[in-house]
Amino acid sequence: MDSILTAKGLTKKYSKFTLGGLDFEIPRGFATALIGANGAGKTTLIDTLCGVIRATSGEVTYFGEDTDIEEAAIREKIGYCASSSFFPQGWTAKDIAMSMELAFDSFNREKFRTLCEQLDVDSDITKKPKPMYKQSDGNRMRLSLAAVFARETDLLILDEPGSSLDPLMRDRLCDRLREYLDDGNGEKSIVFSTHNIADMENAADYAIFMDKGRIIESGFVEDLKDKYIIARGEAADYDKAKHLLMSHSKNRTVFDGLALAENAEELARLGVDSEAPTLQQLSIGLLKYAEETR
Amino acid sequence: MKDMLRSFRIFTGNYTLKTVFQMLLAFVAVFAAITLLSLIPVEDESFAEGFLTAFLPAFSLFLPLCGVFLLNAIYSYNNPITPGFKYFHSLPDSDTAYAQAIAAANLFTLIIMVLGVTGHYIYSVFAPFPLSPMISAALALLTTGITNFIGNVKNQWVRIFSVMPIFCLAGFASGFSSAMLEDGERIPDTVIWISLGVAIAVYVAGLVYALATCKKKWRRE
Repeated sequence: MDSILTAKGLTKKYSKFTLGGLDFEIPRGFATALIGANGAGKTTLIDTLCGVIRATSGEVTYFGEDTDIEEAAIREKIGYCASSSFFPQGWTAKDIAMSMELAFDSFNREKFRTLCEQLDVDSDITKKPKPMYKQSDGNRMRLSLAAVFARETDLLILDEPGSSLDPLMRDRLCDRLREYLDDGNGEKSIVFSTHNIADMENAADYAIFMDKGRIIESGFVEDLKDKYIIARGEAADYDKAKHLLMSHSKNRTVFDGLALAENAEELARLGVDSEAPTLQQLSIGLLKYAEETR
Repeated sequence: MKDMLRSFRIFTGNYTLKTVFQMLLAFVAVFAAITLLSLIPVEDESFAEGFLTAFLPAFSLFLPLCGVFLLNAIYSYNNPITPGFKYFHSLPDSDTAYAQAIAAANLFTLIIMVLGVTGHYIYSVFAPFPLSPMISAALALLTTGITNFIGNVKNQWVRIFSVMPIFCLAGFASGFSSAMLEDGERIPDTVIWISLGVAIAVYVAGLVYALATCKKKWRRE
């Protein structure tokens, strides 16, 4: 796989939580979703990759050659946005534009203005722009995204970009992410985290599933949909089929659950139907399985 | 110098300077209002005199301290609970920018301090003012020096208890000066100069310590 980012043994230790050691790759030219429940370690991983916090051990290779996130050239190529409180609360769009223009060579003020208009938030030329603390979570995220997209980058790393946006804006964000990838002609990549993939299912090409600081599964979404199935059957058949199910939910009449596609024939013999999972079903199934086998 | 100002602006935007400027204006306005009120002739002048002697010295100490807010604003961005922590830590050469912003904030703090102490001096020439501007300057330098020492300490209690004695000292100095003035005396010059010397030493030590350790502390997370 042609990777834009490779991690080997990446570990971050806190007194009550340990991330890793993680070995993974982020494919070049695609959007990668980091999926996991709250507390899975998605934000810690993102913050470590962006140099906001230091890894305890392990190595990350960026863009195939550099391993030091402290290098300004690497940071210039990464567009990062945190899930909340990214900018100081007293700042307005004017402060953001001024600071980013000074900090990043590629920040484009005109582009920022246009994006702010498109996303319907205050820009640096708005008369009396609102400070961050007076804006809703959604508007704060829109402004942060406008600031990130106003730079020329090769890798976007976004922490929960959709969680505070309304459905329409989430849809626009997905379109914007696809445009970003298309503009890059296979060279630009995206990593975004989410605990609810249903809203951004169309934006993900590759998925990394996390649970309690470790990676439990990863791969291209299409490959994962071939690897797993959703099994559905009558409640009466559940006992016969349960040894083939990784995780399940059941009521008095029916059950469904995640299973490996290689077991589809055996399940069919037991009278259990199977179908390709959506990314949302895959997420729930895998995270449930991880929780039960922890 | 250019890099220092650039880094300072990266960290503060327009917001922090604007806030400090507003704070300075507010102090000056309150100061001026109290002075004008004291000029209104009243029957019992002892109340106005007592009020001025007790209140103005304490109040005047805060004027040179306005700059410390700037410095604290920069230091606060090295605390993960402060909004903006992640933005600033994701910037290119963020540790260098942080060190330069601290140096610039110290410079601005000194400028504000000089302006405050000058204002204090001018006021004391025209009106009976018990507290020496030099004591005011010494306390401001001491506070700035300690702020530089504790800037990267995350524990709020340590920060509060480190600066609290300075404010107690400020209250003590203003009370002591007022009492001496009532007896027709002033704090001896030797005490004033020694205080100033100690404060300058603490300030320089704090600044050197801050600049020597801030890059490492910026990367500690």
